Amino acid sequence: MKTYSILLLLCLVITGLTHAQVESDTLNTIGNSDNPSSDPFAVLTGKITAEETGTPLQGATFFVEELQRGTATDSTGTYEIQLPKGQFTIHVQFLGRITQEFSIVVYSDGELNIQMQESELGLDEIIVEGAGQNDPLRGAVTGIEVVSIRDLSEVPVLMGEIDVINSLTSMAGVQTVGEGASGFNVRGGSEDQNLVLMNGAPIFNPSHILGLFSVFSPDATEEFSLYKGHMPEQFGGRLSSVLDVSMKRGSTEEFSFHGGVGLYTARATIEGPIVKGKTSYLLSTRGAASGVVFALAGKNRELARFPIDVDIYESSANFFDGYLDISHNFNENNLLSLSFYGNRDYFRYSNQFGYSWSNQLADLNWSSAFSDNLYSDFTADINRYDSEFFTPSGPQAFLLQNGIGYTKLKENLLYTGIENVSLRGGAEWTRYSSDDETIEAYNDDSTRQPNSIEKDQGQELSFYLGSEIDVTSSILLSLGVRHTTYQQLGPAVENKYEPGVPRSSESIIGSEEYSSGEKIIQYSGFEPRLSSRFSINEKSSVKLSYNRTQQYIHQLSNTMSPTPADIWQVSTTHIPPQKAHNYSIGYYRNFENPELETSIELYYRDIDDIVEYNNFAELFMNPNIETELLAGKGLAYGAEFSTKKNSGTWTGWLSYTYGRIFVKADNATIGEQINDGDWFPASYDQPHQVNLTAIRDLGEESAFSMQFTWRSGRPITALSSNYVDGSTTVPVFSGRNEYRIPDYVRLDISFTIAENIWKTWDPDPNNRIESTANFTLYNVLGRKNAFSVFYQRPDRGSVPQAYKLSVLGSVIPSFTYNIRF
Amino acid sequence: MNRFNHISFLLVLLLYAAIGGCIDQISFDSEKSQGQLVMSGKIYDGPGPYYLQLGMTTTENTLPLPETGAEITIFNNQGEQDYYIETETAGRYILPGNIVSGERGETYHIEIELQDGRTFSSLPETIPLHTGHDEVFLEPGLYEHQPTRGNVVEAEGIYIYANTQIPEHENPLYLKWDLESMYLFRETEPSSPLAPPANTCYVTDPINPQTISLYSTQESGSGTIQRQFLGIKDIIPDQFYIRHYVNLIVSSVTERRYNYWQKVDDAINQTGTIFDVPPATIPGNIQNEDGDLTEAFGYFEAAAIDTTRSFLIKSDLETFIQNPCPQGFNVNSPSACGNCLLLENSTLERPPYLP
Repeated sequence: MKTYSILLLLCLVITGLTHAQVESDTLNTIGNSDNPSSDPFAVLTGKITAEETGTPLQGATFFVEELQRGTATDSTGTYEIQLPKGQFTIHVQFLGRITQEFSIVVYSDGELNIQMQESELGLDEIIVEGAGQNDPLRGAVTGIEVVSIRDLSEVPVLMGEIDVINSLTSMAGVQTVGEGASGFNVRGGSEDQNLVLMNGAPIFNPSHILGLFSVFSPDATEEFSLYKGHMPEQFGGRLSSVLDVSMKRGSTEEFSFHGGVGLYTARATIEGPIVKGKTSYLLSTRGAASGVVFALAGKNRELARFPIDVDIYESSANFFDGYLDISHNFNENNLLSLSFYGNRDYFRYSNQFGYSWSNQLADLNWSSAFSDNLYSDFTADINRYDSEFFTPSGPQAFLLQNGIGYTKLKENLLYTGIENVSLRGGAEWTRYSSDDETIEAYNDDSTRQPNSIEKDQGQELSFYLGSEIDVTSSILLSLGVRHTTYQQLGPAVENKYEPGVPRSSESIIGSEEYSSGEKIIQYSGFEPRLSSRFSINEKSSVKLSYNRTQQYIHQLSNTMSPTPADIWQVSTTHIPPQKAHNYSIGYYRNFENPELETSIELYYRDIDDIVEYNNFAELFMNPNIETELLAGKGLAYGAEFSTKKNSGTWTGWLSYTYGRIFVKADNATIGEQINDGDWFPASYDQPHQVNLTAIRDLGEESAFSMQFTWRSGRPITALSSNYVDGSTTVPVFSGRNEYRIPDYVRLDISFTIAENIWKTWDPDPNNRIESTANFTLYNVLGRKNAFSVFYQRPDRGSVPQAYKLSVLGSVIPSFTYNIRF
Repeated sequence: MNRFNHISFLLVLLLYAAIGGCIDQISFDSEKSQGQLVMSGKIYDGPGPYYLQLGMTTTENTLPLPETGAEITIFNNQGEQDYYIETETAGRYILPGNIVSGERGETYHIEIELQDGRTFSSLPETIPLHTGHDEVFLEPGLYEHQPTRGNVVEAEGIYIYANTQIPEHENPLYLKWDLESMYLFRETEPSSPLAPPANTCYVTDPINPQTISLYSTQESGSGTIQRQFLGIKDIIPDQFYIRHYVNLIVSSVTERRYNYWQKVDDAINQTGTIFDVPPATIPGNIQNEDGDLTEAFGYFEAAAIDTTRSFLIKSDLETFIQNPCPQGFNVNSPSACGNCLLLENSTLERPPYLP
């Protein structure tokens, strides 16, 4: 009843506000109204400069009110944004300059240069009227980070390559448990509670080489948005955040190449027209083959002045990925885009174990303008994720295979015909298909018997409706609701367990068999998504948001950090969906001398049915996997303090995050409790984090930058005693996660040099070749940050000793040369 | 050094630094558990005596202190019972096996009453009806050893392999292999014929005790496991002057015990990487009077065992082996040359399997 009331209120608010008006000062025409392009979308580019000097303004925001999205200028003052044809209200903002608001009518691709006047008012009196999602002061969304790949080009990077996910960890509220760990944690969420989207399609494993790189090639990535507070209603299925990555489309006008070669990876992207003005392509590939280098390491060990572990040179890690986009404008109102992504990763650690995994994604997108005010975006996605885990030696050497995929259909509608109000709505259907889990002998010497286990299937159907409303000049509301119905489908055999005793294979008292496609259980619920901004004055605002989120698919991982072979498990009768209430409140204030954007955000999340694990949970080849899982409670809260400087010779940001995540498994049944049912910190609970990024503009596109990170060590389970069983020393451990590893501290520096060396060889002034070189020293302090603390019994001695593993225990230099023409 | 080598050397440096990581011993204080009983005991399908070790966790030491003065009773499913006798070694108890002895198919449990009045008991364990049978191979060769600290060491060692026959049976078999070495150590021969003769000690040491070798016919089939690698015995010259035996014991254990060892394997072979299973205390089969398995650690095992052995002599090795206890005074001779019982796990009692 409560949720219906919220829906009714939403409809009333939308209806009541449909007559609100907005004023536009000027009207600019983009493109030729007499000869409009057949493409329903147009690319608007331009430069934003200081009126009195012509100096480019880096970091100026260009925001389209009706679409509730925008972009920011790069170091040359250039912006670029793709818009549907139609009329829009634009807000252009830059601190210390008079904000501009005007209207544009877009007919085709065009250019719009903007000059901004210095404010004649005192700095304290500047009126800030930008209303972009990425405008922390005026947007309605709490906890959002919008970043273009260009913004990252000058920031220090690991292994010499700009990376979406690694860059996120320099932002407030985003953490990773360490180098070499896949995924990231947002505001106390586990890795699988992040919805990672490529062109709107979820990606199961967004990491290459165990997290050193992400699947998003920088050459093919346009921009990305991280929703860590308010999650708009068009996103669902995960509890804590959305990382929405938009990939590039090829140019319909001219061919171009861009790529780079580094010490660890190489990449190349080509794009251009197939039919000029109508059809374009973009093909991007990337790869790394460290296996060659590992082999060289073995071959040249005598050259090294230090020992090289035999396990290292017998190891191998490599990946390859490719992205292809073909877009075609059928007519002036319809754009069809078809994209494919595929990757193959291989990691083998000596003869002990290894992984291989692959993502395959096909995405069909049809964007259509039904009228000047009504836009449709239809997507159909097919995704496959396959993983293999193997132990290549021993009498029971095995190859274990898992796979999951989905088929997804989604329709998004946007109506902008009501001034001051934008309406959004849509539907989404996802059908998950899990492959049988199989195991077989790895080689002829192995006696491992082949076996397979049927995995669970499910489907989700969601409807959503939302609106962004300027109630008054100081109140902006984003109101939405999402309703999802989830069904577990057959074929499956559902166990029934004896009540009051821990679930185990011994406590099964019966079972029921379901045929293919038969509904086994259904979960459903409304998910209100509410956010609001209240402007206190021209320089400060407060935002509030409340989100209900539910998650029906879970990454089951009983290792220190998720691995590529983890099982993705849909909700079942015994594995209920995870559910969360997310609250956040933020205070935002801009300062002018120096020009700073500051914010404080507080968040609180309580989670029901969070997935926890029994000690030593056996997740592979377990037909009764629910016997290893516990449905727990989660509690995350924290505060994020952030300040950002977007202009001047030095730019950058500084943030401090205090964030906690506790979990509890306190089922009444003895044996289904962890730490006696008390709250304990999750393995990724890192209370304190400080990030500092500073970029010094050296002119042209050259820059020096540095990045500093400090964060608390993560919890571990420590040794408390030992005993000897037979001749084996057996450890006794503390309660789960009662101790912490030492803090993590890292400083990186980077130089980006934009000197075009080709020009020295080619006197042609029309030379189109551009090049940059990036040199990065990662972990320049050479600090041996602990990834973990573990215990081993030394060769001589009976008592296990504590050791720390530092994944990157020294300075990691990297060099990348990038070229574009 | 040619250009290729320069480049590859650079890559070696970078990749080793990047991927290899490094491991350092650190001081990591954590609260030590205390006052909890730990136990290790076994009954098997062979004549006694059978041994059992009791201890108590303490904050003063990460190894338990011996627990003395306990009364331990063993029961079988025939209604018989017998009592363990405390030995001279603190915390070590012995069951002679005259009344209750290990028989395949029989079920056993023990009850323990400590001096402080607390009582514990083990869950029933049944000795399986079948076990595997091994053929052991010893092959000297070079191996690279990566100590937890320090550099990689290349040394001569003995590779130990086994072929194992696993009988077919309707119930799954759960096997665990243990290796131990037994060598002969002879004291310095007296120079005077009037002096007492030199003793020969028989010294037993576990080989790779932290390596857990397990096999389940539930996951894999029966038949023959060919040339299973079980471990490497490092060569300590003093141990190889006379015969050096390698004993291979295959134990057929219960499913619960097998699962216990799997967890122990996860807990003791941590590498600190993301692939580690989060460690935790492993519940054994010792419960307190309330039936709680978390108040005591350890296991009372019932197993069907089969032992196979092979030996090497010094001429089998590349390493030159000299007499550790030559006649006459030698400052480099170990003190055990004067009294071989100083060696840990040594005895003057000749093992029955020696010719």
